[in-house]
Amino acid sequence: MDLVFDASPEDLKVFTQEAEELIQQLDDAVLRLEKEGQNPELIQEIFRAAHTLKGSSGMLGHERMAELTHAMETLFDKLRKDELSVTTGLIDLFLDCLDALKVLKDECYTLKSSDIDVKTLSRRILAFADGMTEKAANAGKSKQTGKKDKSPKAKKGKQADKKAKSVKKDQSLVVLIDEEIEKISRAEIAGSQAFIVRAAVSSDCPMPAVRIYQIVEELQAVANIIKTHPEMDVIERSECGSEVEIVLVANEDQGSIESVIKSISELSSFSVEPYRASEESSVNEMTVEITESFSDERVEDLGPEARGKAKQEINQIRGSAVKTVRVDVERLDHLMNLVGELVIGKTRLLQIGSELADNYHLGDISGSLNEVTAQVGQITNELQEEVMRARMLPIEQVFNKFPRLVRDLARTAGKQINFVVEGKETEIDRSVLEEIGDPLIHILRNAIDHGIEMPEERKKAGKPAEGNVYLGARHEENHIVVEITDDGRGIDPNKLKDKAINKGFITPEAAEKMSDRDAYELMFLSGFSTAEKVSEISGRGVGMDVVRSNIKKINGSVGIESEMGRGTKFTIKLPLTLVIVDALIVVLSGKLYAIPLSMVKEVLRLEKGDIKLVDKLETILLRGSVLPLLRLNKLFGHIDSKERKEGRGLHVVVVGYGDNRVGVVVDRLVRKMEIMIKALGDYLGDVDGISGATILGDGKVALVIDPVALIAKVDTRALSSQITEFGVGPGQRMTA
Amino acid sequence: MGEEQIFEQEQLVVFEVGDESFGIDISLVQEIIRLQPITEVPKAPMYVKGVINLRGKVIPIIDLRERFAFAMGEETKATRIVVVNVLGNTVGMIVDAVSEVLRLATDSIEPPSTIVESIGSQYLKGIGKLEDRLIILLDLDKLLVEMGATPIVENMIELSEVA
Repeated sequence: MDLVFDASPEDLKVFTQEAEELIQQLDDAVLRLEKEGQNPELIQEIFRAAHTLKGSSGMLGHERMAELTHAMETLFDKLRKDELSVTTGLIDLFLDCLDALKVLKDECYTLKSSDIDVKTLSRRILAFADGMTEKAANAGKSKQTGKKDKSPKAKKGKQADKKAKSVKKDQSLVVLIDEEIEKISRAEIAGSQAFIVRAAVSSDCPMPAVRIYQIVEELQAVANIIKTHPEMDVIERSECGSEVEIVLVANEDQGSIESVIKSISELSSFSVEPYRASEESSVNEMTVEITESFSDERVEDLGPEARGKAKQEINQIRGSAVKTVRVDVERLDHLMNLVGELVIGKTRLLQIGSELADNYHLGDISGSLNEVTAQVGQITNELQEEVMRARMLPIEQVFNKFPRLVRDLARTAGKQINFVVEGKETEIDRSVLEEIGDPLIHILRNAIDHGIEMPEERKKAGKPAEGNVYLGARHEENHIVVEITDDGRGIDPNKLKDKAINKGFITPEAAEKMSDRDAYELMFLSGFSTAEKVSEISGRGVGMDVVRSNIKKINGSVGIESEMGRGTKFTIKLPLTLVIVDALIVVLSGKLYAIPLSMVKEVLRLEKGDIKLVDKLETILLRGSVLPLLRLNKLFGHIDSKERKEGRGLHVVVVGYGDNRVGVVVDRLVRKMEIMIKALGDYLGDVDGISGATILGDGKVALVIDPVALIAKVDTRALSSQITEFGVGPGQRMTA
Repeated sequence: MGEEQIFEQEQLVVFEVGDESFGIDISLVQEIIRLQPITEVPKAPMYVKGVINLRGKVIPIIDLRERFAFAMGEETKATRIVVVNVLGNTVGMIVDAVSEVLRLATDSIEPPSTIVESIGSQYLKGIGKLEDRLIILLDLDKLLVEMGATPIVENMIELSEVA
């Protein structure tokens, strides 16, 4: 079914963003609630978020969302009044509701009605509220005697002290205003009796609204109806749900009213109880407020007035955040591009300035030029920093989804997990942020599914039953480091080796020689999964190879440390930004290339004699370890015209991440400079070993070398030479 | 022939590659620039000459001579880069010369299939006749998207023979 919302596309966008944030906020708060229990402040926060969401969804005309949030609010309110206690059942219910809300929110994008059954969910909520309240109400009866009953319906965070009166029971949906109460009192004086009738139409009834209308009609014949919930006009428009509450006065007794309702078919339940309004009839102040709060409360059946009211309220809420402005991501990207151009221009200016000074005797004017250039350079740098900061988002945006994920995974797996998140506030470039979610989810899943043991197993091993999973982010020089640690069973390198042998990745002989560290690396081969049984949690066809390739894609690296029986630690290193980077400019066959400085470990000057051939691979010995060499001239198909004369030595740029290193042989080093990486475009697509292009100070284009791809090449070569050595046939997939 | 049809015409940028005249829809042409230093891209197809800096944008350059597998031409003063926007990509094409911009009545354009059935004319939109000249109308969408497809040299030769 197509949905039509009562809002412009822009409003809709604002709403969905807002809803997204509120749902996330609720998600967090509910999980905290589970941990912290009855924390009044937290409950108040939850209540406020739910209420805002209800208000704005109602304003938008998203009826199902408003209905659900409305029901949720009832629960939160009970919680707030200590009529409910925090139980796992309650948390589960909340989380189910939040999941439903997420789907409902997405309806604003798709404009299609999803298959979320709000009615059932609301009924579940109300049933839950009823069930719990009976107990709580009994317990707290004496405490409440003499106090005025406050209706959960007429209340909102800021209006909690307003006097709205409810009928008898706390969960009554009908709220009477004074005039109506007066009407009842008058009728009672005249000898009539007031009743409250509750009825629910069975769920398989095709048109519940019609039945409800019938109930009202039938009752009208024998009694004087004071008020209904939903209201009459809602019922008449068939826009009500499957439940109704009616307050009426009648000359008949309870039994005869019951028999009237009994005659109506397709009702799942009903009750008729005497209604005592007289207790509260003395209250006659604040009628206006009550009416107002009432209509405001029930924004889902919006009149224009209520709509205006809700809007006003939302504006009030927004007003508090007036110091921030939402900016379209595209606009920020464009801004970043412009700054990048400016950086290039600045570099160029510097270059021209020094050329002028060197080649012409310009005297003072040259000095002034340098001064201005320096100043422009300074401003450009600051501008760049600011724009970059504007693009930075706290990593929270990704991390916030994880407590829920971990909780669900732990429950499914039957494990107890204490999940600690640190460094949420660490800021990272938006482009990087977008890419790290999936790899992190995968690693967390692995930690929970394979890392943390079952509680009994942990006890046997002398560990606490509750496993610990830690997720942290922090700044480290020019990088963000994300760490995921668990204190589970650790990774068994021998298991990995066996698996690799079985899958034909390596030979038993090669496995023998392999260090533990290298064994962990096996996990990153594509088609490698260590799970003995493919579980629902981590066996979804995404392997660690995807984790690594995703992280590599954003110039990051991932490393593993593990100790049997003690746990595993994943360390992910991410760049702060992807757009403007420091680079080393080098010359290859007379052409300029840029190598991202973050990947450059050191620069060496070698003699030809230093090169040793290992498995037909040129290598050098660097401080006791073997470093493979890569001749870019050969790789890029340049004709190595000026093969360096013997004795002149080779320039080697050592690039790498973690323990993966390779020496790149270049003709000449030029200098370090700031570059802005530009994509080569769809037309050229992915070029092997090249991550993009950049425009140099003189306007020429230099290609940017992709060290990660180069390392992958050497990895592959090293592994394949190993394989040929041990006689494994060709045709094995050796993608690293 | 009704008068209306006279106004149904296409505006073309006509350029020379080898001995042929080619025409492309003027709306696709962003600009025409002089040849400038091109940065080679390793391992790209032969006809991809590399990339250039077009006012801060890095765009790929293809050589139409190579693309059509014509004999290698000399760079002359007349050599130009025709920068086109096709399907969201900005691409520069090296041509021997840009000769003119002209209007061609739609009814003087014949679809390639009616001329030679056998030609795999997937890169051609048609043949335009203008007085005694024949202008080959290129389908840039296909030419630039289907990279690495078979060279269309035979077609060209046949075509010129037929023409």
